[in-house]
Amino acid sequence: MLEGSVVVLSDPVILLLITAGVAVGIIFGSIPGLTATMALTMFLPVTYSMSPVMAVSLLMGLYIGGTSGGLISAILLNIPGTPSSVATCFDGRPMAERGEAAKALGCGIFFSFIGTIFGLVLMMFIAPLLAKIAILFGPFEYCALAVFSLSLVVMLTGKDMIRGLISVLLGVMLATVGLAPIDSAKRFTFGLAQMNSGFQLLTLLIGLYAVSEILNVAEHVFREKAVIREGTVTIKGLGFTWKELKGQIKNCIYSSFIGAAIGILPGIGGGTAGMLSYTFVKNRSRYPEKFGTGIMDGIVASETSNNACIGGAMVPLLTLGIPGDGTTAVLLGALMVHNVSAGPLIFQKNAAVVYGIYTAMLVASIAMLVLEYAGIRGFVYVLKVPKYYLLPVVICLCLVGAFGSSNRMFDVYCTLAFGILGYGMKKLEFPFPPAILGFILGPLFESSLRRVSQYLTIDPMSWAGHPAAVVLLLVTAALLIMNLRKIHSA
Amino acid sequence: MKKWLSYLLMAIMILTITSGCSKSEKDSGGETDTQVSDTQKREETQIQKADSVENWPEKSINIVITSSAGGDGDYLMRLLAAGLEKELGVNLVLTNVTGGNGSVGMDDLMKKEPDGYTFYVNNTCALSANEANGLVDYDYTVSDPVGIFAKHSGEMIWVRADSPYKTMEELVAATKDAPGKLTIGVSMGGSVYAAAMMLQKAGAEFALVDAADGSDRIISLLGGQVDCCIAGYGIGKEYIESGDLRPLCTLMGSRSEALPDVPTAEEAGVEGLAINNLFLLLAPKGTDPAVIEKLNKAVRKITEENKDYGEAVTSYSGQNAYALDVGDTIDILDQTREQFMAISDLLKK
Repeated sequence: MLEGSVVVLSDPVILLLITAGVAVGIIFGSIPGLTATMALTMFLPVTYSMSPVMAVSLLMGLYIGGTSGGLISAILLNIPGTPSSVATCFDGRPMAERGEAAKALGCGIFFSFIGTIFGLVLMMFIAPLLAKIAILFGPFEYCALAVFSLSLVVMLTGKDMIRGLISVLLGVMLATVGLAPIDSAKRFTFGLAQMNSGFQLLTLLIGLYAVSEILNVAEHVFREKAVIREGTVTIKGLGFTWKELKGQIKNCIYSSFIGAAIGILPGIGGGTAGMLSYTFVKNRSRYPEKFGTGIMDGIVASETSNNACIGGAMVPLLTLGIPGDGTTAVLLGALMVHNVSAGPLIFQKNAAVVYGIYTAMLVASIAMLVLEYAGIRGFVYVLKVPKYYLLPVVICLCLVGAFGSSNRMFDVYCTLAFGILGYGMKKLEFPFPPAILGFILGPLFESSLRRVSQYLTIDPMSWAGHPAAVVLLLVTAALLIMNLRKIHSA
Repeated sequence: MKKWLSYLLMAIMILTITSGCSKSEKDSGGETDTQVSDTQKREETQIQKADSVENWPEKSINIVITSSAGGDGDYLMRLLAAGLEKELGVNLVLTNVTGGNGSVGMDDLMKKEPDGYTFYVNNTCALSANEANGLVDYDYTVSDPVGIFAKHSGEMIWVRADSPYKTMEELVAATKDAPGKLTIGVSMGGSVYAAAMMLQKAGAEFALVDAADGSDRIISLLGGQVDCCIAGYGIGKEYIESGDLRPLCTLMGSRSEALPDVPTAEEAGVEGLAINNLFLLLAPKGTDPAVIEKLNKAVRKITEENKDYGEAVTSYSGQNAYALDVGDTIDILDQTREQFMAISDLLKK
């Protein structure tokens, strides 16, 4: 049974492959516009000729590196490298601005590691049980969860709930473009074939964050003289003190659970996980007003959670054969090519590969920790580069990434258009994260709502058989009322 | 006030710049496109003149799979691709262009230059169902069929192992006793929906519920959200072994080689229900027939001679390796189209 683990640990080639995978993954993750999915897609054909354990080792390295790498650009540039690290910007950026970039990075990296390990442990010991929970999630539950998540994100915008709400709706509206779920009706395509597949999440993400940022900075080109900002390049130990670490333990545990729980539900993803645990941790904190001003808690919540999501996402992938997103879909493809069929019998039939995956994940998270800590000094130099040199390079990489995701210029134009939209939103002080989440969760909400309506047509009382969904909706309503009262009394 | 004015000016300037840029980009893009296609055409004619179809393929071949990674078509193509790489001596680059039951990939096909280096994977049922349900207004003739290269593992009707219905007859009878109460998990619009429609036409009275893709439909069944579902053998087979699910019948025209005891729908008393789904390669319209013939031969050679490939196909789909020449492929495409167009009105509802 442990054969797979032994293979991974005893073969220096595999260990090297994992480390190389993590390094490449970090590069893909940290450059806005390049994502973990692209890294995996690029390397998938290389794995065909490898042994199954070797193949999954390389791919897991890319996956873990790619998910974690996003925090680097989120903290240093305020541009999330992947959708997963949207919530890392909230506190990462203010810390970097205060000259605590190294501390923010250290914290993000360390808790990414903790999150990955937590997800991994959970997956190792109770994967079949978790799979049973995932099976019980039907349209009713997904629908309620989407409402719950979107409401939380709107509430996160605090006093400006109206702006948050508008932003969410904007994201949801953008997601309706293309073929409708279920009946594949064409919506808002204006007869353009390119519009049939809708807008890509990536183009929205880098348009809103990266392109709008360059427009914003362009305003000050002739006004601001000293654009060079000093970052602390020195880092002692992990970047934060033992005392600070102890203060984060509870926070970290909650975020891990939220991340892993979101992970086992296919199709929701690290971005939502990070945002949900950020909101949760903020609400139960004794000092919620400090969130967003650059405190460790925010980074811990986001990074622990989005990495715990990885282990979670592997559960439905391995035990049910359901990929939750593009990245896991590539992994599933890789397994199939090696004749490993994901399903209830994977532990009996392909235990070696499963244990290979576990071990590869462990090695990859250690490699991630070491490589990223070693790189901090280098990463921080990015802050010393004047923005008028840095941003044009970033924008080029972004557009290359937008083009590369499906080889069409259409996505590049979309990115630029979303950039202008983002610039407008910035000027009118509309927050970006609700729009991103609206875009991710809108389609999930729509398709599950339409399925729910089919069930209700058959039996109007069928909602009663889904207590979890009902409870989620009630909690959402209660939170919303509490929040509104707080705003009115303030 | 001044600030706002400057913002406004800024916005206008940016808009002019970007629109200017995009225009010139488009123009130049268009030019290079035509240049490229011109040179390609020239090259092609030169190649034809020198009669160097002999040399095809000289560079890597792109295969666009119009269904998502992890599906049957995707996997069977990947198996075949491994064989083709050896047979043809070039790399095959596989990408998935998904959406709209394969129609997004077909849109891509129709725009492609027929250079002999890009091919598309689709299935006979999706092609016909999309036309029959009105999603698209074209049939397979917008492309040049290369050949059928595999059988679908076969859509089956599944129930949970603890279900009271042991046979298809019992299940159909139960729907007649309580019309519209038993739910069947399908996905709207595609061939699975067409199968459900044929089932209803034969007298069953299920309540149709959308439950997304094949693997999601199996999960919905396991989770108790539906009473039965239609899903491929390949997706459900692990659950037969684990004792969670039971197949009642196959929708293929003949019994599956892997499950000889499971009857076809017609044998189980459902008249006129057969979804003979076959995977095929398509080329952009205008592709050199000699190239198509060469690729088709290579595919059939692998199917007939490559034992490893044959075994891998059977262990995955429960069907024997299977491929047809160009002529037979077109006959099957015509038959399938006829079958689906006959229930076009039901599908459009």
